[in-house]
Amino acid sequence: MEAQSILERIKRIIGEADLVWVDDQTGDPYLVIPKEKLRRLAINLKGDPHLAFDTLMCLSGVHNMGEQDEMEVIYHLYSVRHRHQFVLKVRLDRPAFFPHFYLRVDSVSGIWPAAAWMEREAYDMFGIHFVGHGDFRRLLLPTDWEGHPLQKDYQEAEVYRGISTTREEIEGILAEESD
Amino acid sequence: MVHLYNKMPAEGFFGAAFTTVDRALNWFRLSSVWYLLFGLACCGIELMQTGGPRTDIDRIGSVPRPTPRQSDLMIVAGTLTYKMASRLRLLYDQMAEPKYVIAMGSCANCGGLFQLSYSVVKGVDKIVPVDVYVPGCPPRPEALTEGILKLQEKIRTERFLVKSP
Amino acid sequence: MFFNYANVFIFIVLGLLMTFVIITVSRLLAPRVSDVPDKFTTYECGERPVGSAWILFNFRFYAVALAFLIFDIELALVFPCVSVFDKWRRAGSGLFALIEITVFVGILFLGLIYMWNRGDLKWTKEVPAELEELMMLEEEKPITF
Repeated sequence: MEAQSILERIKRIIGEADLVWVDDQTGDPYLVIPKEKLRRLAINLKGDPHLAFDTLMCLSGVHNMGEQDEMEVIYHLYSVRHRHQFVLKVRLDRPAFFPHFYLRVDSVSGIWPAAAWMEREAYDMFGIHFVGHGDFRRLLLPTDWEGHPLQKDYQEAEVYRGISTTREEIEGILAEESD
Repeated sequence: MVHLYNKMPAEGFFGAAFTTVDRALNWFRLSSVWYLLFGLACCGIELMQTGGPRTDIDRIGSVPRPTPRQSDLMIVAGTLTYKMASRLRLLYDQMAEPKYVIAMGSCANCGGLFQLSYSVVKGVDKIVPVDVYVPGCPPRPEALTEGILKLQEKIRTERFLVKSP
Repeated sequence: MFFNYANVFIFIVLGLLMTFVIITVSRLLAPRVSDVPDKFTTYECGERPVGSAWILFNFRFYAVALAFLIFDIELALVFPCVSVFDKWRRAGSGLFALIEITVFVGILFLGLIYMWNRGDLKWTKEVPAELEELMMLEEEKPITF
């Protein structure tokens, strides 16, 4: 199925309100949906026999700090049965106060099991909470790490567990270079 | 229990005897520097090749050991992350004295390519004391062999039984 | 006759002497052990060990080890008998020795037949078909609709 016909079916499932369809010829076309519609749409994308998106290829987080501070969660879906693919985006505003209350999305790990680790990685790197995930914790960084490194305003701590995080130059060698 | 390590005189008749014993003991030790396999990343491949048939460090006495209890030398080959740092320290502590560390490759020397990364320790000498730094990305097996030979030079001039000044 | 034992005695003495000398020289020459308590933790590839090291293992290992031990000792006792058998035969009591050693091996052979019948020589026991259903674990039963 073409992306346009997939879009038509999706509009019939969740209605037309608040959907943004971007189809410039740079890269794949994608659909931006509000986060409240994500769960129902995900169940229908997997269950609908004409769409049959049985594989979640990738779930990524993005932090955009342009005019507006927002984060995105991007879902790349693929159907093995029909051999078509689709891209979904969910945009989340990131306010300055208590951002973790607002960066919450429904987890799709009950629908596509591959999302389990991908959502843990998105949390680890960006701080996006996925509600309804069975085993929600950091994936790659140590468990006592503070902060989410891929946020654009991330400040690295000076010391982690007694190890300093910068490489101090050795005095003598710097003096030689300046001579 | 009497310990003779680092307590023997350096001058006089006994001094001459013990310095000769020291030379012998150091020769025995440097001729069989067994290393702990600690390949973390790409330098680990070059470490394997250095133990392989073409550049064979078995001919200078260095055989790989999988356990720290039987090794004299720890070759930290590769990028060290903060998550791995506690394991590195524990394995270093579990080695028996006298022990040495070679930092192999840029990542082990100073963080290397990943100087600006949040998860890489900027040099293993923040965790363990390093005796020889082998630069390279990755160092060729000949370079690592040179590093081990430099370590052997260091062992040759050590004071084992004789008191250090 | 006791001269033959002198050989063994010298070997024992040298063996013990070598062990003690090596350990003592090692102790004398060794550097001071650093006082880091981590040095004496169990080696587990860098991770700290969790829980006890005593694990539950399959009882079949015990059964096999027991059988091996018994027949190994039997073997160790039969070998010297066989090596002096010729001397006994020449002294006239060959038949007596043969009967004695056959009785010994025969008693242990009865034990082997008992193990064989119980199915302890096989790794997985074969159970008659009627009992197979009863002995399966819940998760091993095939799912039927």
